[in-house]
Amino acid sequence: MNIKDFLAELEEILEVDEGELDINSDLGQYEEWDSLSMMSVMALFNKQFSIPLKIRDIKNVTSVKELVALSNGNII
Amino acid sequence: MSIILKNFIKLAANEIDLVYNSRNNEKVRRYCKNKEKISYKNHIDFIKNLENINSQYFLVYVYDLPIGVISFADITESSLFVGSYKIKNSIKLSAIYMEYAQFYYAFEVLKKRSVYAEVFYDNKKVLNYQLDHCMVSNMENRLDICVFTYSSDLYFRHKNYFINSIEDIFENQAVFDVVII
Repeated sequence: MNIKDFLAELEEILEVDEGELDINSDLGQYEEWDSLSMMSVMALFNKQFSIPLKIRDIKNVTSVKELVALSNGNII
Repeated sequence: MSIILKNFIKLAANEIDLVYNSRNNEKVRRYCKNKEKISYKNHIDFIKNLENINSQYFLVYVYDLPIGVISFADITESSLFVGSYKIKNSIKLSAIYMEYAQFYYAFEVLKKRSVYAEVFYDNKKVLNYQLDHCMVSNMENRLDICVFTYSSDLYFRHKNYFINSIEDIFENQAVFDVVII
């Protein structure tokens, strides 16, 4: 998946405007970056990359960069 | 630690107000079937009428803080519909607590065989998650919603995995029980 498509998915999950996020975005500033969003991202990783993240892998993530790093190169 | 489910019919005045304000929050209303603001009178009437209908609503507490509302509607002998919305709070992972309490109450307390949840297609956050949910046994596409079915068989099969993953978050501390009041 390219970074643009991933950001679009993330924007839908966080219910923010199209184009609002970039690789340097701080997720911690978004109220919608909550446990449900985290589980939604976990589902996305499982479906798209066959990466079964656990909650502990993602619960302290606060940036897009960290999420991309968790994709093991599947987001480019 | 306990997750406390307080039945709406036992709510104190300040809790009734809290639920009223949360239910009328724009972000909550967006994914409700009735998207209009509810008047305070209708809210009070709704709570009063809960004793007479086959639905149950609970305010969910963790660490003495209210984190959300879960509902069980159209309750039959074998099934029910669940719903939930969160209340703005400082508790991390509150959706996980609420989901655990929801399934626990439906499958272990009420002992239903099937639980249904309706999710609007534009509720991407919830939809993504449910499409990958280990307890979903069926999904049905309708006009603007997807109806997910969760089965008691899958709940009991995956329950330990679910609990273990939560224990994992808290580094094996004793996790929680569910108390209904």
